[in-house]
Amino acid sequence: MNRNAQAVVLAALGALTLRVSVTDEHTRYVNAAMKWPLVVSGVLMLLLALSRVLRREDGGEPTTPAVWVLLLPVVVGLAVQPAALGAYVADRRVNDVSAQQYDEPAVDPLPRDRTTDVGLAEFVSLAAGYGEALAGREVRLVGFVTHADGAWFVNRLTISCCAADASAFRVRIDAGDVRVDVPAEKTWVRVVGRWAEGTGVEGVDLPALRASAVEEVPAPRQPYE
Amino acid sequence: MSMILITIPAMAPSRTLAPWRARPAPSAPGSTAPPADRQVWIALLVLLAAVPAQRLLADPLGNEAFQAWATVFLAIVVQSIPFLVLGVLLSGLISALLSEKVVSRVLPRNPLLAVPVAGIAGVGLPTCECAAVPVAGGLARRGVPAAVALTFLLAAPAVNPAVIVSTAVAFQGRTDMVLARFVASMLVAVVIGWIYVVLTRRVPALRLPRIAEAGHAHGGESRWGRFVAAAWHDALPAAGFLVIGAVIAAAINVFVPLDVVESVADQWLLAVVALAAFAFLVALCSEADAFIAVSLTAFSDTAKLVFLVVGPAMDVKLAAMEAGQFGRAFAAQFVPLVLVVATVVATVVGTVLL
Repeated sequence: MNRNAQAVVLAALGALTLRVSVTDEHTRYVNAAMKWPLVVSGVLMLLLALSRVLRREDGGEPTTPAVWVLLLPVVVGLAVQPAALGAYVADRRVNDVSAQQYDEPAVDPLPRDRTTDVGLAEFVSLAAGYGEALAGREVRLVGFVTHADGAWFVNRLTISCCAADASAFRVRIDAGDVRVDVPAEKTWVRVVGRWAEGTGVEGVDLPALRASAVEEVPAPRQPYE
Repeated sequence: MSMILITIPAMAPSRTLAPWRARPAPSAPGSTAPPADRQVWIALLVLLAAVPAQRLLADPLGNEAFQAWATVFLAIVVQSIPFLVLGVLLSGLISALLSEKVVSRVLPRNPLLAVPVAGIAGVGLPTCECAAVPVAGGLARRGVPAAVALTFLLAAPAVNPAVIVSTAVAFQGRTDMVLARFVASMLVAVVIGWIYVVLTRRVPALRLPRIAEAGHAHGGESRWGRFVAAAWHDALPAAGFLVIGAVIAAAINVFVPLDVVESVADQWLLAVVALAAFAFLVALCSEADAFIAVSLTAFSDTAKLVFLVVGPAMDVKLAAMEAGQFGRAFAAQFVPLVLVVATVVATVVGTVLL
């Protein structure tokens, strides 16, 4: 590939990088904290492409044809615009992660007098650790809905670096004192309820929440925990 | 959403073609037609065609499995870009600022001693493995012996503070696992370096990395010129090969469920080989792989250690990048050599320490 074409490819890749970071689309792919490194990288790639135009004395330097492959992420970014990982991955990796990963030895018990926001990963691991910090407390979970075997579940994925290392966490929602309508699959919901004691201990079964209120919410800005 | 990108193809022709039209001769040595022109237009057409493709192909592209692949593929690319840019910047800085004189003063004259020094220097580059490839290339260009640069390449992604901390967090402060990972990774890097030092002269079939002199022809003499030339030289081939690796890694990641790997967990040897292969194929960041390793509960600690040691030393995207940076003949020997050494060393260290 000659240098003019390389400049076009590099500019396109830089523009893609800039776009996904400026629009916060990057949270579908990587840790939200990568925003500014991505912005800077996108700008630098555009500048490097521009330097090709300014430094005209460069001759044509043929490089590896592998450079053509750089068009692929740009094309995928434009033509597919993939959504954040969701039910497809959740079905495959549900609560795979051993409970000990998130099971801090000294967890402060959740307050009893008010409702606490708890992450799905934290809820699953607290339940796995015999739920002492969880029992009797009212918690609020946010996640997307899946259905299976006549039950419904709230799911959330966690990532540490990027979507390639995603883990899935799932909690079964049982009817509590109040009847709740079952939300459609893939909608995002906020569920208030209490841990069904004894479920999910040591990860042998799915932990369950006895729901007292369910409301649909828009997908959060950061799809992963 | 796609505003920025649409303006690029619109602006690019006038910017990039105008200088070419002004001076048509030098950009296409040895060919008669204007292939330069054609390649630019092909690239632009591919980019422009992607926009209507979204509408026309909405159904096949909406397939859940394909969407998941696309997300993971873009995730690996997007995650790597800042580290690759950082690596290219560092490599450019090395090319511009580090002189052969300084290198020879800092490094021990004896390459057998210089190898462990390079391994310890790897502690100072707290990034994922994508940054290490261009940095190692930059070091080799500045007169660092190839074997020493390779040790740095293998050590840097595995023994730096960011990886140590993330391993400790994932494994709940199990210091034996953190220590075993550090020791095994450092050993792999040093052993490979020594293999190259010792065998280079005795085994003529052993290929050394191809070190292309960036900016030799037209980078100019100025530091800035050398910097930009090195950046150009390193950035695109490395990124291109990285994308090829990401295509494969994302497919493995999405379509091979962990249960398939776990089905061999109770057979000692198979488990070690399976996790080494898995680490090679999924190509996780060295700062994230400990979180996956800890979830492989069916496996022994030694097998998990193999996963943690092989991954940062060699995986499918690194292999592709190294083939691009150092030549395919070199990579064809280096990649299997590192895989075998890393698997064996990690197994031994795991058996002793865990």
